[in-house]
Amino acid sequence: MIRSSLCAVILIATLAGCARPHSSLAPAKALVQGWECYDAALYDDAEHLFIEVARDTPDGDERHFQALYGQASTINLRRPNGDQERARPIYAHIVAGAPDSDWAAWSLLALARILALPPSGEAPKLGPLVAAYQKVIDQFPSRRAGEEAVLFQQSARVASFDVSEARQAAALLERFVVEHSGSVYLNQAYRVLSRAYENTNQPDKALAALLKYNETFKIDPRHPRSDYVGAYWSIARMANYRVGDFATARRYYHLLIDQYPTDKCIFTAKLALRQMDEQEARLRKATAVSEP
Amino acid sequence: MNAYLRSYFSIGVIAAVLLWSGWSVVTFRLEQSPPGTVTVRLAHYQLEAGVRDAFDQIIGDYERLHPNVRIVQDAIPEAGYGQWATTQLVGGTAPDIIELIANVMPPAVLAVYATRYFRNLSDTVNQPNPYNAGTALEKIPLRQTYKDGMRNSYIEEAQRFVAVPLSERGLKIFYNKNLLKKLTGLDEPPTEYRAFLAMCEVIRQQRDANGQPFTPISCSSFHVGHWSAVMFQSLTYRNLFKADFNGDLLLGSDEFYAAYKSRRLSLRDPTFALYFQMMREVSAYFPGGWTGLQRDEAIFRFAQQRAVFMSVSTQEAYSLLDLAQGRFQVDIADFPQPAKDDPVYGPLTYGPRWEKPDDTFRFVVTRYSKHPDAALDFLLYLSSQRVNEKLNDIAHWVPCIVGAKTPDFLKKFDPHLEGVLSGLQTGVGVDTSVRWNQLQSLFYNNNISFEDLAGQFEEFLDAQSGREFVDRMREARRDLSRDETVATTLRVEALAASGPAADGAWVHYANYLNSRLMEPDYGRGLLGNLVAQGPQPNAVGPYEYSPHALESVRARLQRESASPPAKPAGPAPAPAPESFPVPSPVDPSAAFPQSSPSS
Repeated sequence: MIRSSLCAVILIATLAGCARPHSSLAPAKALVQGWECYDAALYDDAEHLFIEVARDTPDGDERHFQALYGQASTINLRRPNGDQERARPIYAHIVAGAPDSDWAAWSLLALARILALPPSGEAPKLGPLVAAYQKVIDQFPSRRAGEEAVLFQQSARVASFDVSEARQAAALLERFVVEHSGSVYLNQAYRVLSRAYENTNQPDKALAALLKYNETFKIDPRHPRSDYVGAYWSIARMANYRVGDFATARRYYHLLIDQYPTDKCIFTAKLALRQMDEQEARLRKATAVSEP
Repeated sequence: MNAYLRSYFSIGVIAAVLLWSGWSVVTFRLEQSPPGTVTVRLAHYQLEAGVRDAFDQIIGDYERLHPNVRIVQDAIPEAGYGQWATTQLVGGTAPDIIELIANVMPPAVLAVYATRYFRNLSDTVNQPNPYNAGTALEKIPLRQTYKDGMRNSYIEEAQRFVAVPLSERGLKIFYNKNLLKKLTGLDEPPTEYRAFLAMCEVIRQQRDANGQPFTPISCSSFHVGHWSAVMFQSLTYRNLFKADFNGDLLLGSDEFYAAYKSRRLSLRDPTFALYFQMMREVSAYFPGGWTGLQRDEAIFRFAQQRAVFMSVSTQEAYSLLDLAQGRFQVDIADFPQPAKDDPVYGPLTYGPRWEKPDDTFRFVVTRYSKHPDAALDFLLYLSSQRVNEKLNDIAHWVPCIVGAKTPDFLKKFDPHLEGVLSGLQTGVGVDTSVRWNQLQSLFYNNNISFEDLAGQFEEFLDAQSGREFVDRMREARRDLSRDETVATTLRVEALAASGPAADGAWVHYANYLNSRLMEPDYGRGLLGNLVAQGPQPNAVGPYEYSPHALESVRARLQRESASPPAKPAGPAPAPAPESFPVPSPVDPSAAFPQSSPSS
């Protein structure tokens, strides 16, 4: 009897020792720690912290909804074992509980993104996806989540390689860049717009959009590979091979050579410059021959 | 009493041994880290001559500067290092600092390690290195004190820096100067391909004192990768013009497949045929049975003076110099290259291979470090200009910090920062890669011709790789959830930031969405579309002129000839081109971007 009691005490003590201690952190600190755990892929700890904050904060509190958003994101996006079905109702609860909050906007976008990322890896169905993004756009037209939804929606349309979808995307983005000229997504919108023009066989407009993309590009101070190489290279190639605007192509190839002399594209840029000269000489000769 | 002693004797012996071993461990630990000292353990797998000595000396300097810190160096053999490091990390017993084996880890796996097991050093690398005080780098953020700006150390998938590199890597040919002179009368090898082969033939004809023929090039299954990457693959550069659909100047396996299915690329193209032809010509001067030889066997042959040449990376250079010490003289040469007017390779010879200035010898601070600040401080010390120069000078490696002097002998390892890129890619998935390797091995061993290889591989591609392509697309989409995970972190960071930091955080976030989520989605759509459309014999490649572009140019030229412009439009005229003429085509179907019928 004594022995079994002792065993029970030891077992209870062991289990108590294993149990996750209740965090004594203030909600704001616990939220920060929750996101740190999420970032470090310590998903169990992150979820636990978010649940605690959600439990310890009143229903209308901003921190309450952030904690729920953190909990849903952890469940949804943990790797491995992300569980979209468990995350969905939590996001929906945020949307219903605080329909005007930023967290509701981001949650509605997260519900749309779930459709964009089927766990099976199958290509998402465009119709429902476009509709889900549209919900975010309609409900939060001037919020960042709404702007991001515009971007994702057009990006999905363009990536479908359906010409009519690309036309719609181009039309919407043309309006977006005018109406949201101060958006943090303006630069990315021009990139998607240039793709939409490419898909609708309008290379001149695609080049114009790329030039605006370059103009609105901001160097990311946190990223060592954030530079103008990509923009210059895309513009030069589009101008050279698709538009035949050799002046622009030359200008951007030279910018690359001057500003990024050790980049891997320099050799090819110099080759392209030489090739343009040859192409012009060849066409000039052909034109001269064909003239009476 | 005797019985009592007898029954407890064995237990007593065990207890004594345990006590003794415990005592030994405690005294050893105390000796390494007396009370009050901070002990930082550092593990690496560089057993090459010089590296451990370099660390010993630097550690001595550091400990004199910080008497309360002890740095303990553990050199683990390379063969078991991966398993050892993984076990230590997963078990939570990893040393404070470990060397990263990043080049063998797929980026996705490295990202998992980076988030789970390594400390995020992004803030640190954006601050000046305090150990650069008094130098020109004093106020410059750490990452900008690197020759490559730490571009290669950034882990894109995790959006952070975790590693501090300590050296730069290069690849060249080593040669035995005495043997070359004795066998060929030359002081240095020719850099032109045909002359180099002729010289190899002269070497092969000669016999040593035992009547054994000399081997011109010491090679193994490991070293062939060097020759392929620098020499043979240069001939495949032109493939990029037809298949680099996303414009990143790298040929992805999915891009290769899309180009193959749309008939923009074929295994019968001269780029593939000449790649194999050069491989066969050069490998004729490798030792017999080289495909079965290991790295050490090639080094052994070179050290025994039975071979004249061997490809060597900066990391191995000093070990080889050490082996040659007092016996023969060694020098460094570039890989040979065909002349632009070479009758066979000339049309595909555009220039030397571009060599990425690649940082290596990377160290991370593990999450389990008991003294992360001390560990990081030691890494900052190692990456300061003066110490990095000293470390690499002793190790005979190339330093990676701006202004740190490279040992004279290694200056010849300076990379070609302007050159062609590889356009060789054939594996769509695992099955295709295995098949390619099998056929390549048969080709290496002269069991099949190039025509057989191309025919059999195309047959395999037609039968199998459609499924692999679909799987690959599916896998890439599944991987998107990892990027979505990171995007959520960045979004929350941006939402929490305020003032100027918020602007930077939103720029970072928005750029991330574009580069990791939207552009790859577009790229997948594009390739899927190309594959679905099937053969398009007249379609232009990404670096080929569209009919619209040619028409625009023609119209402009006609306008200009009708009324010459008073002032040239656009920027100043281009400077005189470098000495790389656009080669003439090998055959009309393989012409360098001239695909338009009107051209």
